[in-house]
Amino acid sequence: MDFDSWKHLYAGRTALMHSSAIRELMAVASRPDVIPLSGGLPYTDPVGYDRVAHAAREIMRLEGPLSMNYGPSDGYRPLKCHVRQLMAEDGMEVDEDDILFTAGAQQALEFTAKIFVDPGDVVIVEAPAYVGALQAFNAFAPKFVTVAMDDDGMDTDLLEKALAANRGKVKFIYTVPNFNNPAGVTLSYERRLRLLELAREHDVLVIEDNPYGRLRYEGEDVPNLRSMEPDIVYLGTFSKVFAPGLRVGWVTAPRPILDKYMMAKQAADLCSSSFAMHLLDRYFHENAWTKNVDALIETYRVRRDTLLEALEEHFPEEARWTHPQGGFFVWATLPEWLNTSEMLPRALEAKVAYVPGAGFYPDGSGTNCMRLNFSFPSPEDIREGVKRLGKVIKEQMSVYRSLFGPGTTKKKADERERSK
Amino acid sequence: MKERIAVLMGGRSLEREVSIKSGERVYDALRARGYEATRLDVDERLVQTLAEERIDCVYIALHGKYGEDGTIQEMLEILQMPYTGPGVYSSIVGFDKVLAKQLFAEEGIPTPGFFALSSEAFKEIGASSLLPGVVDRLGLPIVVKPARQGSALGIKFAHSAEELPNALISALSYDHKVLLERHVHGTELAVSILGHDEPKALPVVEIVTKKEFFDFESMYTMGMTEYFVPARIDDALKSEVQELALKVHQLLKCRDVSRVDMIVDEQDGRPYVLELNTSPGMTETSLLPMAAAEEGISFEDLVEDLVKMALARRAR
Repeated sequence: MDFDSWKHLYAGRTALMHSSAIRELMAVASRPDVIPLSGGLPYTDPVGYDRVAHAAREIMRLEGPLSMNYGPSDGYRPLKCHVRQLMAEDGMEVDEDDILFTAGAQQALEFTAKIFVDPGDVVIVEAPAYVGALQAFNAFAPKFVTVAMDDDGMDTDLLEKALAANRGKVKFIYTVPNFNNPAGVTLSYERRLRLLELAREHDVLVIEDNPYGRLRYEGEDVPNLRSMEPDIVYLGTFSKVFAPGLRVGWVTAPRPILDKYMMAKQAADLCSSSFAMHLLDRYFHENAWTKNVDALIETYRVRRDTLLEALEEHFPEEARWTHPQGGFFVWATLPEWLNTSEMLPRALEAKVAYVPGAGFYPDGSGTNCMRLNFSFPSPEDIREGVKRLGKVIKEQMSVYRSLFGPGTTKKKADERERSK
Repeated sequence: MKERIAVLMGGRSLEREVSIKSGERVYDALRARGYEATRLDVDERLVQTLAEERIDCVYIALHGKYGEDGTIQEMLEILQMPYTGPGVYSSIVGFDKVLAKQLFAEEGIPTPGFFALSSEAFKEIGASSLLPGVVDRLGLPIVVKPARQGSALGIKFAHSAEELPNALISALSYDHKVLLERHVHGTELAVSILGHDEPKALPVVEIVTKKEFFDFESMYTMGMTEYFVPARIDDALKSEVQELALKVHQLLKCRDVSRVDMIVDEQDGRPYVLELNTSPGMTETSLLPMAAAEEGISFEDLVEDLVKMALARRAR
C-alpha cells in the first residue's frame, strides 16, 4: 500500500521538498503560550486600518472596474510613480518602464532562479543567507557557494576567492546588504564598492534584495548597490514599510533582464493583484507614507534595544551576537559544540521559540547559531522570552558538560581549531 | 442527533500538528455518523468548557505529553467524563518506554536489551563514564530514545561509542530520562488491538522505510514509506505476533484500543516488542486506520466503535 500513487509522476526537483521534524516543531512556536522570538512578522498597526479602509472605499468608488480586473503584466502604472520617488530618495534613478511589480519580493526570488539557474550552476550567497531565497533557489538545483559575513557584512576577500575558485560557473551573487536577514549586519561602503568591482571583473550578476533599508534605528545610511551601479537586479517591497498582507513588491533590472522577469511573471500569475496595487497607490496619495515608517522605526528601535539589553543580562558569557543598526533580527552565536536544532524542543518546553541557524546555510552548518526576532513580540515578551531562553541555553550547556566531561568542551573546540 | 462528543485535539505537546490532523479526521467522521461533535484544544479553560458544553463523551485525539501520558485521562476520571481509549495506568506506562520495557522484561515479553539513564545521573553521579560499558553490553549500533516522546522525535542512532554522547544530547532535549537500546535489524511490524469485551488483533502492517529507521519524516511524508497490509509474513509468525500484541495489550491493562510496534530480528526470526501506543495516530498515513480498513472497518466505523465503547462506560 502506498499513499502517493502519483510518486512516479513528480519531477525530480520535488525530491528537494519534504516535511521535516524541524518544521513541525516550528509549528508549535505559533501556540499562544509560546513567546515567538522566531518570527519575522512586521508590526502593521501604524498603517491605520481605518485609513486602509478609506482608501479601499475610494478605489471602489473611483476605479472600481479597473481595480477589479486584470491589469498590465508589469503592474499598475501610477503606483510606479511612488516606487520611483521611493527609490529616488535612496539615490536610485529608475524609469517607470524599468519596474515590474511582483507578488512580494519573494516571487521575484523565484523568478530569479527560474531565469538564471540551470541545474549545477553556481550561485553565491551570504553565510548565513535568507532562508526564503535558499528555498526559492533550491528548487532549480543550483550549486550554492557561501561567503561568510562578519560585523561589516559579506567578507569581500572571501568573495574574491569564491569567484576565482568557480570561474565561469557563477550566475549571480545574491545579497541582502542592509540589516541582513538573518544576520542583522550591514555591508560596509568599502565592501559594496569591492563587491561591484569583483562582479564586473568576473562578469557576474548582482541581485540586491533590500526589504529593510528604510528601517534604520541608528547610524548613517549606506548607499544602495543599485545607486552605485544601475546594471544590477534590485528587489524592493512594501512588506516592511507598509504591510506584507497586500503582497506587493517589485524588481528593477536592465531592460533585457527585466523582459525575462516579465515573461516569468506572465506565466506565473498574469499580473499582480490590481486591487492591491490600486489600494496602495490611493493610500499613498491620502497618507504620507513616511509617517508610517517613522512610527515603525520608533516601535522597532525600542524592541531592538530591549532584546539587546535582555541578551546582555541573560545569555551566558560564551555567547556572542550581532548589533543590528536596523531591520528585524539579531543573530546569536553559541559555543561551537552546542546544537541549536537539537535544543529547540527544550526551548519550546520552556515556552520560547527561536529559529535554529542550520536552516540558513545550504550545507546545514551554523548549528550553533540562532536567529532572534524583535519586530513582533512586545518589549515585555522579548524580555521574558530571552530570560527563558538564557536559562535553557545554560541548562543545555550543563548537560553537555555532564556528558562530555568539564574539560572536554574546551578539548573539542581545540580539536576543531587544529583540524581547520 | 446522537450524543455530544468533544474531540480533544492539538494540545501542548510537540506532536500538536499531528494531533490536529488526527482530530480533524475524527471530527468529520463523527459528524458524518450523526454525532454532535465539537473540537476542543487543550487550554486552561478545558475543564470549564467541558462542563459548559454539556459533553457526553470525550474523544482523545491528542498525542504525546499530557494527552497520551495519563494526565488528561486522570483529569477526565475526576470529572467522571467518559473518554476513548485506555485508562490512566495504561497511558502512564505505555507512554514511558522505559517503564514499559521494564515491565516487558519482568514478564518475559521479548524486547531488545536496554539501559535507562537520566540527565540527573549524568550530572550528579558521573554516569558518562558508564557509556563504554553500555556499548560493551548492548553492542552497536545503539538506538537512543527519549523515554516519553512520540512520533520518533529525538531518536538517534549511535554507530560508534563516539556518536553516543551526541545521540544522548538529542534525546535529552525531549526528556531527562532516556533509553539506550540494542538495535535489532529486521522487519518492522505494527499490530493494532481493537475491542472491549473481546479485544482482537487486527491485520498486521509491515513498514518498509527508505531511511535508516521509521523516523518523523517517514511517518508523515506521503510516499516516503511503503506499507504492506497484510504483512508479508507466514501464518505461523502472523499468529505469533498477534498473540504477542494481545498479551502486551493485556499486560498494560489496556482497554478498547492500542497499537504494538515490533521488529522481527532477521538473525533469529523472533519478534521483539519495541513499545505500545495508547493513542495511535489517526492521520491519513497512520497505521491503526490502515489495519482496520484491511479488516473491513472503515475510518468512520473505527471512530464510532471507539466512541461507543467509551459511552458504554457512562455512569447510569
